[in-house]
Amino acid sequence: MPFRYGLERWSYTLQRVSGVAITLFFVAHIVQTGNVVGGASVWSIPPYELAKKVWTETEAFLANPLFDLGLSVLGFLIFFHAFNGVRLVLAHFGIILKKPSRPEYPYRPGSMSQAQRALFWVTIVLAVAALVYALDVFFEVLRL
Amino acid sequence: MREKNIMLLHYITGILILVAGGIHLSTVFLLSPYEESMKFDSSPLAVMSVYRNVLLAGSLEALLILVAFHGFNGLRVILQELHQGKTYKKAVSLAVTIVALALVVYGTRTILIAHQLANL
Repeated sequence: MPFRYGLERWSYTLQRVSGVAITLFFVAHIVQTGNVVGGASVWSIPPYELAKKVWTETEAFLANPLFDLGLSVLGFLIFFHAFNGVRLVLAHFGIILKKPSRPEYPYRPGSMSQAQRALFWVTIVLAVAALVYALDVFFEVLRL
Repeated sequence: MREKNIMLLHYITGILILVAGGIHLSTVFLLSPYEESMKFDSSPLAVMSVYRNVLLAGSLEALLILVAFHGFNGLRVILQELHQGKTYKKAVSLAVTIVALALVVYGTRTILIAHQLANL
């Protein structure tokens, strides 16, 4: 945990952790959705009923509060990664950055301008909104 | 490819995923209730209904290729930063390419077969 560092280190850590988590989910998701046609052994058009049966079984297996919770957290991570990624692309091309200058006390990095900090927090708000929305969809708490 | 061009492609795929992923999330969550979207068929945006539509199935294929590149290139960058070495670097690049390609092949199989199955 980057407690001794600034906001940009949190942004960096979260971006990498969320990226790896989303990639792992992506692998699982491709394997899971392979079941809409009947699974990994199917390489030509299967009987409709077989595909439907395998898909229904897959959905029954995944209908589990743990998976729902995992997907909700993933919603947070995906939204964070997406919007923080936009901020990083902007920063990479020098948009909304401070002008380069000598390091002077209190050594605030030019890469984290006011606008960049604001964007970081907007990203967090959007990610939390995605988390709340996902929890509501899966657990029907607020029924938005 | 030079690292600079790979990183540019990383950003471009990232921005495109915003579009393709936005379409994917919209069809599952916003444009139809989640329970309806998860049905096999018999709902306007159920699983098979999405694969039946050429544009939606195509956007899934695009999303598959974009995420496979973006995700595994990201993994490659992280792994190659953790440890240095010529052989290690080559091994990581190769492994990541193989896994990404395998996923694209398997996912494309799913989309193509599901599209044909849905349109029978």
